[in-house]
Amino acid sequence: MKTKGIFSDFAKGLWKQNPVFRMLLGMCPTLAVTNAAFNGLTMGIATGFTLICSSTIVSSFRKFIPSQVRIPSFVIIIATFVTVVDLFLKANFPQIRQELGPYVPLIIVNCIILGRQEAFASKNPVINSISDALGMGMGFTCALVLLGSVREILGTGTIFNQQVLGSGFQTWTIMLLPPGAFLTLGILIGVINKITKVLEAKRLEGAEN
Amino acid sequence: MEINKQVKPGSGFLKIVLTLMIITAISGGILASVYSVTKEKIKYQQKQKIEKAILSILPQTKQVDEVKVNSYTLYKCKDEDGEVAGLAFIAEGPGYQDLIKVLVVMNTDLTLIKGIEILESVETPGLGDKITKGEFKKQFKDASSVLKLSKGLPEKGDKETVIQVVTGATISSQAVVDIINTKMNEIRPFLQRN
Repeated sequence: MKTKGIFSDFAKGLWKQNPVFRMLLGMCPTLAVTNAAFNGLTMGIATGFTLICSSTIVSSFRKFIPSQVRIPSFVIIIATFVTVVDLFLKANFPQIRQELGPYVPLIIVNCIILGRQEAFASKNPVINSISDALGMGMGFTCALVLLGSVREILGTGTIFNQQVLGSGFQTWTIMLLPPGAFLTLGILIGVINKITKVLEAKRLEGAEN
Repeated sequence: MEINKQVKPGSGFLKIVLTLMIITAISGGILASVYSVTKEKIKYQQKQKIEKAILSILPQTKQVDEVKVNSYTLYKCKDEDGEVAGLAFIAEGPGYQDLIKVLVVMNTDLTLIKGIEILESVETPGLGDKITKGEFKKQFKDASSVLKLSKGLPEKGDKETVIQVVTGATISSQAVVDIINTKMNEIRPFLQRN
């Protein structure tokens, strides 16, 4: 059991290898459901839950799944969990399920989940895989909430349905539509790249002195 | 000579088939049990949605009875005296993105639409989805049973109620009017017989 790496396996999903801002994975739901901060949060939690469950199962049985059929096996496992989440939402939170619409079943083909199974869970022990899934799930959720908040504030003047901008503010409806999603995401990625460069330069400076 | 260097020892044909069979069998089992556990609750939620919509249009409704006429499902809305206060049905048809499901509540004579509720729709947020907002829906209150869509104001001599488009940029409002008119034409002969 690789105990040393457990925390770094978790932390990398939050910043260094953030699935949305650095790895650019799972773009479809990222752009589609972030028209409101709450929708982004719910999607992030649903995806994170599926990721953790799938990684646990895949990692536990990694020695038994033949490599030639690993992708179909991963997809079946992921699809089972997503359908369970979908039925759960339909039964207990129908309004939220309706808000998310077609994007709940689309979690099955979210690159982040399949990608982490292939790149990590199928090759690492269970604890590390769970840690990796937790980190990636949280990183994804934070990215979605950030994107959703910006789009919601500029698009409707609210955040989590609480009015924050006065009625004098002319809402930017484009923020609720796909172009606004792309623009916001692009700008956020640019900002994060810049921050990363500055931090890296400072770190090198510190190392030299 | 090694033909396939990637094959792990023991990953023969039998193991592949067996693994996939086991995985799909377990998956099927889990899904079947979760489905049966949530089935009743989901049906209940859908019924709640319809009843809540009917209540918002006919507040005197105390009970909703589901009846089947030929292949159509109708909802009899009864008030607290057990009298039928209105009849409701669900109409479905294509919208801009996907199907739109409309609940139409009518008076007992079937001459007036008391109101509508959009049960399901995936229209463009901020544009087409204005059909789900009160501004659009209240046009249907006490509307005639045949509807007409217009961008402008009602013309003199319009016998039908004229519904204003939500915006020229989307067909969502046209879809709603078409869906209701179509269903009404289908159901009218059956309704009048009852």
